[in-house]
Amino acid sequence: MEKLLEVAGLKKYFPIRKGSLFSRETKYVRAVDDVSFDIHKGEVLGLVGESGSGKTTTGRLLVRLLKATEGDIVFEGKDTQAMTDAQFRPLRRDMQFIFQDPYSSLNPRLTVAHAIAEPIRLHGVATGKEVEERVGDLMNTVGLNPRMASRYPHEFSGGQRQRIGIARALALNPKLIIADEPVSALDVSIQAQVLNLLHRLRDEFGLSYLFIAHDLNVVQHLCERIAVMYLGKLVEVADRESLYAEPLHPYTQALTSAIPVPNPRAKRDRVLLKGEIPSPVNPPSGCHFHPRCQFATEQCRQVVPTLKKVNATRSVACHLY
Amino acid sequence: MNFWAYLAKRFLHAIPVYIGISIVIFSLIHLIPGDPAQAVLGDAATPEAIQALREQWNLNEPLWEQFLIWFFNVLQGDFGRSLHTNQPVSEIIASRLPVTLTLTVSALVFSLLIALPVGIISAIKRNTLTDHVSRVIALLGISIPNFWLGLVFIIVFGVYLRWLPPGGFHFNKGFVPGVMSLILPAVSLGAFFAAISMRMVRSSMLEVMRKEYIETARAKGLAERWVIRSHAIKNAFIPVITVIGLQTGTLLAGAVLTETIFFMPGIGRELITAMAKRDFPIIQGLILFFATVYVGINILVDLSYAFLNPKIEYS
Repeated sequence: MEKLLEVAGLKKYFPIRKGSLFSRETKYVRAVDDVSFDIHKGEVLGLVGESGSGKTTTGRLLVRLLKATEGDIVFEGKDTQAMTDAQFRPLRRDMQFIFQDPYSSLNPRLTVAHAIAEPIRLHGVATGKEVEERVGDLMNTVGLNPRMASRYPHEFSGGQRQRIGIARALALNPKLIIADEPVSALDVSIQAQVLNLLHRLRDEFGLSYLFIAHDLNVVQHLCERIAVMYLGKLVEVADRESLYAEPLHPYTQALTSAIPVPNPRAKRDRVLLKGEIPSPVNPPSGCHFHPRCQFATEQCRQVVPTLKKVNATRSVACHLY
Repeated sequence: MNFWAYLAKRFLHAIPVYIGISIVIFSLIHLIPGDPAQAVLGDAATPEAIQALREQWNLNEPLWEQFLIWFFNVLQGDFGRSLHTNQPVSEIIASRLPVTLTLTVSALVFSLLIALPVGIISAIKRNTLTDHVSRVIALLGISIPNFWLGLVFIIVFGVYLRWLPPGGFHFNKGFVPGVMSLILPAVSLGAFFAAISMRMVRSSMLEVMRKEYIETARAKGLAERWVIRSHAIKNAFIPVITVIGLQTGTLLAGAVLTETIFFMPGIGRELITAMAKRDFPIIQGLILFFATVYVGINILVDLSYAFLNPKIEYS
């Protein structure tokens, strides 16, 4: 399969200043620390992790809502990191972002029609009357009545708003959609609707997704491959079947064992994690996960594990393998 | 509720406000020590002459009766006459108002011309030198009282440098001398307002720039310039207009001092003069006029919300 997006050695360090006015020492939050992955055409890659693991930052780096500290982002063979903002702008047509919060991500002063039409006009995808038609089509596509086009965002429910966000993202016929927890702010019943919509759109338009989530359950339905992130690093990348059947990394094991099972009598081996995710300012030495890992050895405390291929479809960053 | 019904309701609400204001104004003024009859006739007046004048001006009636007489006259559009010149108060206001309006509007225009661009730039270039400098200037603008600033301007630009006239209102000598005479008072009156509006614009812009729909706009591929102009500024101005609108009233209060310092024949200086002479009808008429402007501005600000913010409907 052809690669659409290749990410290599991506890093994002946020500087934070500590200390008094006179003895400033600059420390860094290593939000994304040497992350590499790729997305094939038509593929849905899930990016999973706890809050603070750097998954949202990764998404934002891809579409340049943030600038990377280091690393390469190659989209369709073009190195985007070498581009200026103006050079990158045409590429935004191909990479669109769906935001987590459908309430704050829509400008309250723009009607739905205006919000969807703006990128269409701006990138010259359509002009004049065609714009209106296209807005109507897009609203139909995402399951909204085009007659509601002249309304303002506050007149819609959360699920409807997220559909507006999706319509807006689709407006430019993108190739890749980065969806940052698009359903986590929605009720469970609405979550399913929006996930089904995303699934349908992918088949209809041949889209690729980077689907960011903190919930393995949500990712399971949509993603072919899943990357698990912990404290700025990828700990495991695997195809869906093998990840759920046999998670390799101890962290992934903990995550999969936390997925609720409908049958309350089912016997389950829960892997419970101790403690909280450590601060990315002072990450633990060696493997970042070792303080919470039941299999941790001396090697784990000292040596940072790298992501190694264990077979054709999966890689893991753990000294156990 | 539609626009007109809302407007009518707001006007009805204004009525009790007016009655309240009238009572407060009247009582406060009559609490000021000093006798207008004595003030008019001077120290040499005989007690009989003073008594006769008090009788003529109804000053010997009980206060509530004096109030009712005045209030019903006001309802009929009669604000009384000056105790000194016998000129009708409405005529005095009408003849002095253009000066005050010119002054406050110029001060408003001056301060917005400064505050809007500086506030926006300061927010966009947050924590840079530009931002720090403009914030320090804004702090100075807020901290310096406008009468002191006016005096410094007179000394520096009017007396030492002789660039601009130190006082007066010279539109009767032509347009250019008029504008020259307006610069110092407008700037000293507008400084505080410029500073406070600039801080308001800045903080409101910062708040909006943090919103996710700004990221959405960037992700759409809009140029940063356009993101700021079309998405950020419009949203940031909702609270700004409220504050600017409500603060416009304080410009009138500031005009009282500014006109006095710069010797401008506006209603502000008229008020000070009338107070010195205990000219009750003028004081009452002017303060009631100020109150009308305040109430009017408040209604305008409320009406403007619905134009600015689609979430707000008249109700």
